Amino acid sequence: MTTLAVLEQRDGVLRKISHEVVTAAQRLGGGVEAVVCAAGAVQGADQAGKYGADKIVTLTNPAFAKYAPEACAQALADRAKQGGYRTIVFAASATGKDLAPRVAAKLGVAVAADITDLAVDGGGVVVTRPVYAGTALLLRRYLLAVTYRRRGENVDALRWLDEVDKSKGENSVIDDAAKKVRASIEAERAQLKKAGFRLHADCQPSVPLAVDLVQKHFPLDNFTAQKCCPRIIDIHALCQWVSE
Amino acid sequence: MKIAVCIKRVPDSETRVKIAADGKSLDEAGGGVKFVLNPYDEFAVEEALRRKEKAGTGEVAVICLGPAAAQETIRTALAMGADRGVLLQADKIPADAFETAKVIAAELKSTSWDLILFGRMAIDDYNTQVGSLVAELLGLPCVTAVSHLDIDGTKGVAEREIEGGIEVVDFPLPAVLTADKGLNEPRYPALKGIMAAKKKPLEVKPVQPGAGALEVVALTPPPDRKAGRIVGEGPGAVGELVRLLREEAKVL
Repeated sequence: MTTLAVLEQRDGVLRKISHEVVTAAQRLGGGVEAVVCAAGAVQGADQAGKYGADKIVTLTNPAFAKYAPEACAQALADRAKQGGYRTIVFAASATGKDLAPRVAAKLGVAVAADITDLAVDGGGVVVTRPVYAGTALLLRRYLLAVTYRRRGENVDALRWLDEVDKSKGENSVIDDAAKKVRASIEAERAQLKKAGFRLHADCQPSVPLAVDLVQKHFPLDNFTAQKCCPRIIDIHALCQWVSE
Repeated sequence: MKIAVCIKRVPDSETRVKIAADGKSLDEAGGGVKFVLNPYDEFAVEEALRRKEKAGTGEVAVICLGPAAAQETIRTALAMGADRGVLLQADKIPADAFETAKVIAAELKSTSWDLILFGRMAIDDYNTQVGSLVAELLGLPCVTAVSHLDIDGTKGVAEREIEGGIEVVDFPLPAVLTADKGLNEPRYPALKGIMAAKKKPLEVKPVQPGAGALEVVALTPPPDRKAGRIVGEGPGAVGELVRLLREEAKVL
């Protein structure tokens, strides 16, 4: 599975720390896609290939000339939702530390900050990070290996869910939970449709909100809810149904 | 001005921590570990007090997720001058900061704050993210690692240190800010403040944070430092030293 490496630029020039980010991302195997937010072409971005990036994407917007935390986080979260990434790697720089939690909150995934080592282990990623003023090292397993699948704009959300369901190697508990929640959404949706409601045009799926909603309606533990939510994300649509 | 300051109880960085028998957590009971108010949170508390003093009116509430013993940490902030405390009591703070953020955001939601302050990071787990996560959950603007702050009415200008420079950010209130070193010089609680703190309201609310998506696999002491090495003496050794620094230590 591809890893998304978030590069940094300042005044249109790639920052050196970006090379380290790509190198770290490469250690997870499965290919690296590098992404950088900038106002235009980034000088030195092509160098990322030398350090192991398979693909380099520049997300351009005039607002990215300076560090624009909110816009950058949104652009990166959108990008992450489109790709099939297992992990996103940021630099532990002033910008990266500011950006990572914002993106993570939008995706509903966890952040392991300030890591000094990383490796893939089973389904998760294991990282090492110093804690307690450097007097101990903490190994943490990053369990939330959420895969965001590509989702065409006009693809029916339910069809997308079916595709996800067929994917291999999923935990059966999460499979069952997702199925149950889905069935319930479909039933409710049919009722809403019958009652003359339509989907709100501005409906934006959001994992954190979906987790909250799912937990409110189903007796699922947090982990299961988080795991199955990306697969039933259009549950959010439920609260966005409006009367004609 | 209504200001919330979110604080954490952390082991004093002077203490040598001991690892518990499970190899995954800190030995709190047997280690003789001293706990203190997280130093970065002190900057946040101080800033809140100064803002309130400047405005002449308002409230500074201190919110802390932690075990029962964290009441002591809250009292420290109350002794500095905060008006009231809320302990979100949980025996274990989740490894996943997102879960911590959810619990804190749920508590903050019930009141409309002008300013929500955090320390830039906690000196135990260095997560550097709870403030930003809470801001995202509440849909508020957020400036992290603030080392200088000006507030005028409902607008603020903050400075944050970045590599090789200072970033100047303006933002509307209400907002979430995380305080960095240099923002101010935190006051020491005076005896009068310590006495007064005992009478200030401290609400205890039991909470159950989720387990989150991070699992601690192991907590280990860092590898021993390697012994130093003398490359040589006099100008003749410079070449070799530079070669080692470049090729072995990779610092040049």
